[in-house]
Amino acid sequence: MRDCRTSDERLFDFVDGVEPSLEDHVAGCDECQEFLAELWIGELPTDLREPVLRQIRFDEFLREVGSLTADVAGAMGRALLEYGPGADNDEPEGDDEE
Amino acid sequence: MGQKKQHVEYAELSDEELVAASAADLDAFGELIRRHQDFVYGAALRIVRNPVVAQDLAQEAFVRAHRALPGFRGQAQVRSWLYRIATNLALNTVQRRKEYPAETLPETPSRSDPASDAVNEALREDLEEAIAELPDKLKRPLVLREFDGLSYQEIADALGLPINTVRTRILRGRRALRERMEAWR
Repeated sequence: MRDCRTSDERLFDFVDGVEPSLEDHVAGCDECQEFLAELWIGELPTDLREPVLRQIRFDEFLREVGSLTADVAGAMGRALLEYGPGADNDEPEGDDEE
Repeated sequence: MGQKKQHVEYAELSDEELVAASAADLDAFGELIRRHQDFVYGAALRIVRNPVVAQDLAQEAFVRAHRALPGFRGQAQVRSWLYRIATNLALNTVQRRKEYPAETLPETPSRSDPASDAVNEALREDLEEAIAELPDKLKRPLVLREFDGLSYQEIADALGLPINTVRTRILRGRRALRERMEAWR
């Protein structure tokens, strides 16, 4: 019996969905989680490592690309302000004619 | 060779040490996934009652956990932290999609245990000997679960036992084997 006095039977019922009142208790009870971890050994039909790590790498790639795009857009914006069509408006008129 | 050595080193780290290393080292996070994926999947499956959805949720839970690594301060155990992420995701999914009935647990595709292929011959022999020494009432459900890959319900049907009796006997069988194989750790 665990220190929390939750029986194996109640945890089995919890797993089967007929003891939802244990939800909060299990979320905070290391002993009950230890029991469930043991019960669920071998449940997962596939190894998640590869798909999860691939997803994380892809997310990081997107963040880097997003950051690069923002840098490029920022540089283009600055260039536009400095050298774009509006930049000539401040030039003294008539310079080209002289 | 180098990779294998590294894997062994990761396996020796605590969860907290792996979390600390994971932000900069995806292999460390991979070890955390290996350790807790059955648990995270089980937590999700208990709520959504659909193995395919539970698998997707478990995957998403680990991705979110990785994003949240900088905020993990170690107040809770890593397993509790993952449990909360997975159950919150699953509860949100059930709320959004009411089509998952909660009454019956669908059969989970079980995997056969490939571990025996990886262990060396001496370990295999010792393991077989340890299993042979188990009392029949523990050995039969354990072998059906670990080697034949049957679900708890299938074993209960095959042996004509209540499912909770099967669960209890498999847990007791695993613990007995663990004690017997302690020397290999």
